[in-house]
Amino acid sequence: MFQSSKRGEVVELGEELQSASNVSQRRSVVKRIIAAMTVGKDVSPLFTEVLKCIQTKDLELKKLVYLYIISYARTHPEASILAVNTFVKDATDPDNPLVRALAIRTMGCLRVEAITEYICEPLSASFKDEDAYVRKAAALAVAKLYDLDPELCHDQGFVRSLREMLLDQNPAVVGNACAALGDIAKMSSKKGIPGMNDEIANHLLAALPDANEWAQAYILGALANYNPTEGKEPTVGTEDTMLALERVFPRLQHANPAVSTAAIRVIVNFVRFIQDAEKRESVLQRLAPPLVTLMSGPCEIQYITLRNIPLLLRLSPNLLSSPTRVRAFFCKYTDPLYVKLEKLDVLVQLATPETIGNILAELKECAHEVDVEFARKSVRSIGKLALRMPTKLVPACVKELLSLIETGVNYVVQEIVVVMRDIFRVYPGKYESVIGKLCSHIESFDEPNARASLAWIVGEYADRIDNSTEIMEWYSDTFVDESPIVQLAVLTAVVKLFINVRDEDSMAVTHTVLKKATEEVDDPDVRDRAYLYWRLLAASPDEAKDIVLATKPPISVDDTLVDMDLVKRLLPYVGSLASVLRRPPEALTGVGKKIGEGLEDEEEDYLDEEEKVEEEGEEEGEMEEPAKESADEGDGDMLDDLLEDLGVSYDTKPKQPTHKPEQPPTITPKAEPKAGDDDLLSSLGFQASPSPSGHVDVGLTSLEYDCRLTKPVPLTQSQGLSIAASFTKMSGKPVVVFIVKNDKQSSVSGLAIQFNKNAFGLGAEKPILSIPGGSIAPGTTSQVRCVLVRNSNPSKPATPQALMQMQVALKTPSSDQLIFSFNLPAHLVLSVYGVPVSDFEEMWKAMASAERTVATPFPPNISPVSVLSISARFTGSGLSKITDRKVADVSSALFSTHFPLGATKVPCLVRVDVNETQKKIKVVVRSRSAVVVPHLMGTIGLLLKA
Amino acid sequence: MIKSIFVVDSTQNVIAERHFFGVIDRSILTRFFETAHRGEPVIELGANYVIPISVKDVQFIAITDEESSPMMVITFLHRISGLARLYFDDVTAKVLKDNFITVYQLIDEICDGGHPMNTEPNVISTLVDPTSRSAAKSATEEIHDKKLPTECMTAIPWRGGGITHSRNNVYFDIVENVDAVIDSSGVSSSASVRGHIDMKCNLSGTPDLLLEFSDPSALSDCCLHPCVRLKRFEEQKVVSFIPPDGVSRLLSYRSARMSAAIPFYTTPTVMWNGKNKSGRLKLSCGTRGGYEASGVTIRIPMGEGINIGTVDVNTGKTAVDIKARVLEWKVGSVSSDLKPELKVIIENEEGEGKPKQLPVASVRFSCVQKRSLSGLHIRKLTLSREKYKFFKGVKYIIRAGKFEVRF
Repeated sequence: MFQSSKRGEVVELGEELQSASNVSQRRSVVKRIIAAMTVGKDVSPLFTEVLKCIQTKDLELKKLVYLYIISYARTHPEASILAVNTFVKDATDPDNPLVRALAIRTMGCLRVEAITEYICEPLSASFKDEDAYVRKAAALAVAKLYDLDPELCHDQGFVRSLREMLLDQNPAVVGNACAALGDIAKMSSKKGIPGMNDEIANHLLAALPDANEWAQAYILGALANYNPTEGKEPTVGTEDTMLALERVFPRLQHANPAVSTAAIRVIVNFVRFIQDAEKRESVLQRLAPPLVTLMSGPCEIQYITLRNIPLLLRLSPNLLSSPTRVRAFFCKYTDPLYVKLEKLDVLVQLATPETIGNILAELKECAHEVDVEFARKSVRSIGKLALRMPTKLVPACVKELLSLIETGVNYVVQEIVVVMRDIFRVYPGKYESVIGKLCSHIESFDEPNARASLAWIVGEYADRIDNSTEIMEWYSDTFVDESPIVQLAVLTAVVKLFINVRDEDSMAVTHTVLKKATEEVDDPDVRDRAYLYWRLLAASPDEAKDIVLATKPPISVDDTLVDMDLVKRLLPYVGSLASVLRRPPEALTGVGKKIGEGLEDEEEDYLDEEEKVEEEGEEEGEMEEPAKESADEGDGDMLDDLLEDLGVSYDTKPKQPTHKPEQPPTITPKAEPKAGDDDLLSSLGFQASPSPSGHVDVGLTSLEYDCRLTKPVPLTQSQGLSIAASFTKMSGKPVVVFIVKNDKQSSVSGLAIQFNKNAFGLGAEKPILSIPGGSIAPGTTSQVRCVLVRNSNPSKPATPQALMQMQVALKTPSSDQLIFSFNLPAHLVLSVYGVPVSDFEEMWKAMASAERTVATPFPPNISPVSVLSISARFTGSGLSKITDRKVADVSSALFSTHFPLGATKVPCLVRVDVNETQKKIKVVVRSRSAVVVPHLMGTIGLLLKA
Repeated sequence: MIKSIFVVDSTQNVIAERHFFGVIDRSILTRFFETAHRGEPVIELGANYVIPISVKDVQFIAITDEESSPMMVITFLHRISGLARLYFDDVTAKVLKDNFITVYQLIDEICDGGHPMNTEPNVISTLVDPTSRSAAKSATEEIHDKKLPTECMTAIPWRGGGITHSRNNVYFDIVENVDAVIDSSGVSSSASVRGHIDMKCNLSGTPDLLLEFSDPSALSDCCLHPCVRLKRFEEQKVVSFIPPDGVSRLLSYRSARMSAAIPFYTTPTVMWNGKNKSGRLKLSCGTRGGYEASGVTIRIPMGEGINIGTVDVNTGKTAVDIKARVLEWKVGSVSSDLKPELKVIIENEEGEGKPKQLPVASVRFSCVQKRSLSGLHIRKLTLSREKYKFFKGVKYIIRAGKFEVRF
C-alpha cells in the first residue's frame, strides 16, 4: 500500500473504480485512494468518480467516501461545495436513520464556511428527528458549527434547541447535548452551562444510570456547576443537595476513570452546599475508594490521580490515611519515573503517626533505587516528613537518614546534608551525633548546595564540633573557586566560628577567608558581605555576636502546593487539565482563541433574544448580568464561611477590573525605536491597533503561535519603499515578518532581503529571501515571513547597546542596497529556565546589582489587568512563571528565563507587580549580567503592548 | 474535547492522524518530542496540551487547546489501542501501518467532534468490519442496506442482539493478588489483597444474572464493569447485571482482611561465619494445604557490598547477574511433596562487620484453590429473562502481588 508509486497509479485507480462491479470492490478501491491521498499523492482527478460512489446503500462504502471527502476538503475547501447536495440529500434520507446521522455528523466536520448555510436546514430538521441516533449527532453538530460561526448558531436558534435537548427522553441525546453545551461554554469562556435549573438537573440525574459511560461523564460534567441550593431555605437546600448526591455516588464505582473522576468533581463542588460538618465529612469519605481504585489503573491514569490527590487532601486531610490505603501509593519498580516522583509527594502528605513506620520504610527503600533523581527526592521526602511530623516522631526520620548515610552513596549523602540543615534549623541543638558522620564525607561533596549546607551546619555548631576550624580551613583553600552560594555560606560560617571559638587558628582562617573574599572574588554580593563582616568584627566582636547569632525566624515546611490561593481556585476543577498542570483554570480556557468581542456582549448573545425575555418573566432575571453577579457573591460568601472550618476557602470569582484605565502605558522600551508612532503606521497602511486579540494576520492560524505577533515596528523609508517588521515565535523558532510597502507610482519587482551577522548568529534559512509573488503593485504591501535559524557564529556586538541589533540589506531592482537595522526583541531568543520557588529568593538577592525597574499605569490593551492576563502574554516567550503571590493590594508574579549571550546563557529573573489600588504595573528585571537587563526590559514592554 | 489525534511509531513517524477541528500541523509533534519531559501524560506546549499514551512501540497522542478531562482523553486513547488489539490481535507500529485505513475508520466511528462516543467492541465490530474477517467476506458477500445495530441506542450497549451459543456456560475466575511482607521468621508482617473477578460468558439471548456472595464485607474499594447495576450493588452488595458476551472483568476490589493462610510459604535464613567475611544464605519454600503453586520465581537483589558465590538448588534453574548483584531462581511448580531449597555462599565485600543491608527477595507464584484469601465466596448465581439450563464454574486463583521476603 505504501510502496507502489507507479506513474499511472492514479489513472489506474480511477479505471478500477469505474469498472468495479460490486460494492466490495469499490470499497477496496476507495480504501486505496484514501491510502494514496494520505501519503501525499494528488488524487484530485478522482474526486467526481469517488463522489459518485456515495449513492450507495452500503454504509461502509458511504463512510469511506465521507472520510475521503473530509480529508480532501482539508486541502481543497472549494470541492466540498460539490458534495454538499449529497449531504443534504442523505440528511433527509427517509429510510435509514444511520444515513441521516452520518450526513449530519460529516457536514459538521467539513469546516468550510461557505457551506454553513446549507447545513442549517437539515440540521434544524434533525433536532426533531424521531430517531435518537440522529438527534444525538445533531447535538454535536451544533458545537462544531458554533466553532465556525457562533452568530449563525444563535440566529438560527440552535443553541436554544440544544438546551431543549437536555430534556430529551433518550439518555444518549442528553449526554451529547451536555457535551455540546459544555464545548460552547468553553468557546465563549463561560463557566458551565447557563440556565441550569432544578428541572434540568433532575432530568440529568435521572438519565445518568441509563446513559453509556461517556455520556455519563458529560452529564456529570454539566452537573458540576449546578447549585442545588439556589433560592432555597438552607435546610431544604441541604436536603436537595444530599438527594442529588445520592444519585451521583454510585458513579464513583464506575470502571471508566472518566466517569468516576467526573463524579468526584461533582461531589467536591456539591459538598460545600451541605450545612452540617459531620455530613460533609461523611460525603467526602466516599471519595477514598475510587481514588484507590484509580491507582491500580494504567500509569497515565495513576499520574492524573496523583496530581489531584494533594488538592483533595486539602478538603479532607485524612481521606487516604488508613494503612491499607496508604499501601496503594507505594512505589512499584515497574512504575515509570513520573509516577514514582508524584507518589513520593503524596506519601509525605499521607503520613500519620500510625502509618509513618511503613512510609519511612518505603521511602528508605526508594532512596536505594538506582535512578538518581528518584533516590534524591526520596531523601528529601524523609526530610519533609521530619518537618511535618510531631516532634516525638522526628527521631525515627533522623534514624532513617542516619542509616542512609551509612550506605555512603555520594549523592544520597549530599542530599541528606541539605535535608539535615533544615532539620537543625527547626530543632536546634538536637541530633548533633549526625554532624560527625556528615563531616566525614565532606571530601566527596561536589554540589554547591551540599557544600553550602555543610558550611552552615559547621558554622552553627562550631563550638561543638572538634575539628570545625580544620573544616573551615579546608573550605578556605578552595574558597575562590566555589560558587557564590557556597562562598556566602562559608563567609557566615567562619564569622560564627570566629565568634564562638576565638582561638588563634579560627581567627587565622577567618582572616584568610575574609581577605580572599574581598580581594579575589568577583561576585559583588560576596564582596559586600565580606566587607560588612570585616567591619563588624573590627568595630565590636560582641555586637557582631548579637547580630550573627541572633535567633533565626522559624522556617516553613515546603509543601508541594504552597499556594493556597491556587488550591482554592483549582478545587472546583479537580480532575481537569488545570489541576494536573496546577495552573489557574482561567489560564487554560480561551488560550489562542479568537473571541475578541467584549465579554459583556457575549454574555447576552449567549441566549437568544426571545429566550431572555421568557427567562426574565419566569425567574427573576436569572440571566441578567447584575443579578447574576450578586448571586455569585452570595454564593462565594457562603463558601468561604463554610470552608473556613475545613481550612480552605474557594475563590469563586475571577477578579474583574472595576474601571477601564484611560492612560496608555509609558513603558518605552529601548528595543523599540519610535514606538507608538501610530500615525506613521497607519499612513503606511498597517493596522495601527491590531485586532483585540493582538493578532496581525500574516497567513498563520492562531494555533501556530507560540506567542503573539508584536505590533509592526517601522524600520526605514527610502526610495518610495517603507519597511516595517513584526516579531513572533513559531514552533519555538523566532520569526520576523517584514512588511514592505510600495509608495511608488510603478510596481516594484526583484526585491531581496539578506541578513548581516549578529550577536546571536541568527539568519534566515535561505541566504537570500525574495518577495512572495515577485513584485509589489503600487500602493500595496507585501509580507515576507522569515524563520530565523542559527546558521553562523555569533559576532561580538560593537557596544552592549547594540547587542540585539540586526542588520538587514534590502536589494532593490536598481541594484542599490538599502541597509537598515532593527533591534531583535529579546523574547525571540530567550530560552526556558526553570527555577524552584524555594531558590528564587536567594537568586533574586544575588542578582541585586543588575536591576532595572519600570512602573506604568495599567495598559489599556490588557483587560482585565491581572497577574494572570500578564502571565498569559508571556506564554511561549521563554519567560516561565515560577509562582505568584498577593500581599495586600499588590499581586506579583515571578518569572525566570535564560538570556543567550555569546556562547553562554545568562539567568534572569523578572517580577511583575500589579497594584490594584494605584492601577499600576511595576516590572523589575534582574540578571547575572547587567548587559542584558535593558534588552529584557524592552522585550517585556513589547510583549505587554502586543 | 480532543482537537487532533496522532498515532506515531517509535521513530516518530506518523502512522495516522485525525483532526476534528482545524488541522494541527505535525510540527507540534516535533516540538513535543524535543521538549524535555519524563513521559508525563500531560504536556503543555504553547497554547496546546499534548496527552500521549504509549503502547508497545506506538504512541497515541491527543492534542487539545482547552480545558478537557485528562481522564477522559487518556481512557479514550486506551480504548483506541484496545480496539486495535481486538481487530489486529496486536498493537505494533507495523500492524497499524498495514491496517491504517481501519485505524481511521475506528477512530472515526468512536469519536465525533472530538468527543468519545460508544466504544463498546460489540457495537463497533458491527459497524467497522474486523479486517481478519473482511477478507473472506468481501469475496463472497455484499452487505446491503445495513440497518442500525439494535444495541446502538439501547441501555445495554455492551451486548449485541441475537447471540446464540450451542452450549450455555459461564465461568468466573476470582483472582487475588497478595501484597505481603514476610519477615525472617516466615511470618507475614503485613498483607493485603487486590482482587478481581474475571468472567467468561457464553450465554444465549439476553440473560440477566444475579451474583450473590456469602460474605460481601470482604469487598472494599470496588470498581465495577459498566454492566453492573450500581445502585443495587450499593444497597445490597449483590452483582446484578446483563453480561457482555465473551471475556470481561466484572469487578475489582481490595481487601485488607485475610480469612485464610497464604498458601505459599518461605523460610529465609542467613548465617555469617565468625568474622562475617562470608556467609550462607538459605531459602526454602513450599505450599500449605496440599495445593500446587505454579510459575514460582524468586528474585533476590543482594544489595550493596554482597557478592554472590556458589549457588546450589535442588530443583529449578538459577541465573546470576554479577554486576547488578541479583540472583533469580526459577523454581517452576511447587507441590506439598517437594521442598525446593536454595543455598548460596555470599561474601561481604568490605570484609569485616555485617553488611549494612540484608537482601529482600521478591516472589512470584500462582496457585489455584478452592477458596479465596479474603473470604470472598460466590454463594449463588441465578439467571432470569432466559429459560435454559447452563453450566457455571468458579475458580479461585491466588497470585503474588508485591510479595517480599526479608532475610
